[in-house]
Amino acid sequence: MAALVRPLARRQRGTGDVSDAFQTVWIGVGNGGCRTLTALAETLPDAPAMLAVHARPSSPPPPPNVRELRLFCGPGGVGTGGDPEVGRRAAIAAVDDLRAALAGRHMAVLLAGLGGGTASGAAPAIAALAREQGAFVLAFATLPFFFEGARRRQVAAAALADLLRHCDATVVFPNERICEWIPDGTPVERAFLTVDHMVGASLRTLWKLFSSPSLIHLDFADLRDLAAGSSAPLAMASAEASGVDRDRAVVAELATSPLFDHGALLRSASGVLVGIAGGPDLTLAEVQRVSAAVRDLAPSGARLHVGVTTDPMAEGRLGLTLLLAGPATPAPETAERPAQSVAAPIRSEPAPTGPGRRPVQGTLNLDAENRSKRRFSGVAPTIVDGEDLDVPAFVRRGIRLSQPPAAE
Amino acid sequence: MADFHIAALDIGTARARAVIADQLDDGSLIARGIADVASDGLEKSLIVDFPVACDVVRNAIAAAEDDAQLKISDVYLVLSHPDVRPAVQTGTVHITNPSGEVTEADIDAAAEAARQARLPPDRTVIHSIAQDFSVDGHEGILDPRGMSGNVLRHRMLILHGDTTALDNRVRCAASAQVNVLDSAFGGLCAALAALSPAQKAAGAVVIDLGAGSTSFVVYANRSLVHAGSLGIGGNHLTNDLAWGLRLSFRQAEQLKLEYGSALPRARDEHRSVSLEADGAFPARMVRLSDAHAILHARMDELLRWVRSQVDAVGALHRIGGGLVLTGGGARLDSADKLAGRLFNAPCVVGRPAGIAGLSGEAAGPAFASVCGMLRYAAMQQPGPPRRRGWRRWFDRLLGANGEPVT
Repeated sequence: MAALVRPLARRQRGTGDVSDAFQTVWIGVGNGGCRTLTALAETLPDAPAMLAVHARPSSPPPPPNVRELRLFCGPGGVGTGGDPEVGRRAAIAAVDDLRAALAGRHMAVLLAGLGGGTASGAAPAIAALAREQGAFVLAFATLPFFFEGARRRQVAAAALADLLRHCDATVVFPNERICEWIPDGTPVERAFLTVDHMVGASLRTLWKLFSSPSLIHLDFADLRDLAAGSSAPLAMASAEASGVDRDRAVVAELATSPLFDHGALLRSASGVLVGIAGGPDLTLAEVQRVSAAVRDLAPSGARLHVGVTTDPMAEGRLGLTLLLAGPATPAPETAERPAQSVAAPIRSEPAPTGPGRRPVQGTLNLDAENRSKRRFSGVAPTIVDGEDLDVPAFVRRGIRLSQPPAAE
Repeated sequence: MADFHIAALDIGTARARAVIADQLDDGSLIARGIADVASDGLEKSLIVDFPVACDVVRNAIAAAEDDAQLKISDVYLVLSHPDVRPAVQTGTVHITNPSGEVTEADIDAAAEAARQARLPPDRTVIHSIAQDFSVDGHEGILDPRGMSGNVLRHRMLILHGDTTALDNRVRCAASAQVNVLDSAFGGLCAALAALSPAQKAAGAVVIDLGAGSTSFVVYANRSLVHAGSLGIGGNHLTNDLAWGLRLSFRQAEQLKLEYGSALPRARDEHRSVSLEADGAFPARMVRLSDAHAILHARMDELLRWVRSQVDAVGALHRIGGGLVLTGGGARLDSADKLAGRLFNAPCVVGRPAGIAGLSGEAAGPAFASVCGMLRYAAMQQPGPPRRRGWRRWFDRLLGANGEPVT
């Protein structure tokens, strides 16, 4: 049970907040999602609450810090049989348990391997429920391998469209692209393990950037801002290197990453979240070079959010994680498939926020920036590295206040 | 006894400060008149309203004269400038002495060659500071006298600023019917007041946080190796608060001074404070966590800028003498803690040392640069004969060979 009773209102996380004030729950949905969650549960620093939602017990039972919720799909403990509708109904049947797990959470992170019945049906439903409870919903979804067949791909595509509508941000890992890293002759089991490992590594990095005391902090609002720029799902990849030129090595690796369509996604991104993780030996010059290199690769209008975190254990290593928003969509599609939506029945009201649907709070237009300079607007601006430092630092860093400046 | 008195003036963006000190025969200084008056007519350490700024200077000098019970005719001027930049120049000479021995004349000639700064016409040299020498390619020589070789190279650090702005600053001071005898960069003055010789030897950074601009100087191996300034200061902290929390500038200033912190404070996380109404701005309750987040963002950014400057000359890991914060901004709670964390070095708030008779505000970090100016002046002024002996050494150290500023 989620013992904490907290106001359901959406909360913003400031820079200096201690992370325990921010309640997160990680939910693995379906076989693949639970597998990733299990792998994460053992390695995630100060792990948040975790919940494994599945229709059939997964082969390695999850560790004790992961709670389980078994969905009832039919008599005799059968699974969904690959039917997302069964998965969706099972999730609705378990709505009380799910609400209890989500109560008071400021953020819900969903992990799902789309294509199967549980993940494809239940994950969008859980996302909708979490949003209804006032949480920021972030989903990590893998798409099936090509060999898994056309039907699973279709199911996954429909489920992804649902997830996109119900989550504040959705990150997609197409297994097929990951495949390009896996050498020929790799056993199927190993291939799945590789995917789990990669997704897990990316999630760990991201979690560290958002939760641990970082040098340059990233905010969940940064994520939302990123996701709002495009109606397409976000793409994510990580690289790590050590030794001299490690900064160039990580950038070079990601610039051609199959997960970014060999760099094409990066060159057309509307926004990039840059997570730099290093040891105590991480230098400012490296951070500057990495962010400058990413800035050069991305289109000139792309929004960049940079976060830096260091870990004493990561001495000598430099990790770079990029989260990309697709090309900006001028007129984002609205929910045009309400009848088909698997999660619609338990949605109480349209969510106020969502990818590609509204201007982002705190993104000030040029006029507001000029006004924010107030008394300095009459003198020459103080420009450093192309940035007008007279504009309040907290505005440029995207720090949200409990009382936002725009409203009175 | 006190035949000599010296006056120093610092025309800041928020406050103008003047100190008149008696110089005793043994060279020590005793403050005799102190003035700390509200300033106006400046923005970001640049004069934007010349007549108003001249009034401020007159007020400051008159207040110091009243306090000291004497009239002054000369003044030393602190140069606060938002855009002081360093340039390293090398002067090369062929050693002329037939024995091949480096002489004083060679050193002077090399220094002079290095000082021929190739600067744009709108930039003026503020200081030229001796770095090191090389003789026939052997580098890192601190004093080449008596060595032999063919070619002597002398590296100098040139600090330069905007010609018009510096000229106007001197004119503004001179408008109060005083001679400006000499002037020095504010960051350097702060270091002279607040840095011990041991710190200079071990390597140290002084950050002078003014209302309109921030200056820094970096010492390594007893000599100044890097310096600069940026037009970001305490007024930006206030402006950020005013904009972010919808306050008047006065309300924001009060919030900053009374409750400000450069780091979030756990005990203030849910605390709100009330601010009185100010004109069109109503009385307000403000969450301290918001205020601290705003102040942190600005201070963090500013200190990171200084850190990047220090890192650019490879001095970040050579500051065994630590970090010293001066200027009014150093009074912000936890500013020293934040700086210490960012630089990973011990950090203290610097107070003017070496001048007796300072108390209250005048003994605090905000008076560091004007007091440092007095110490600089005490070393410059043709005074008691004992000083002449090491004047030359000092000049070489500072490179202040009568370089006129204007």
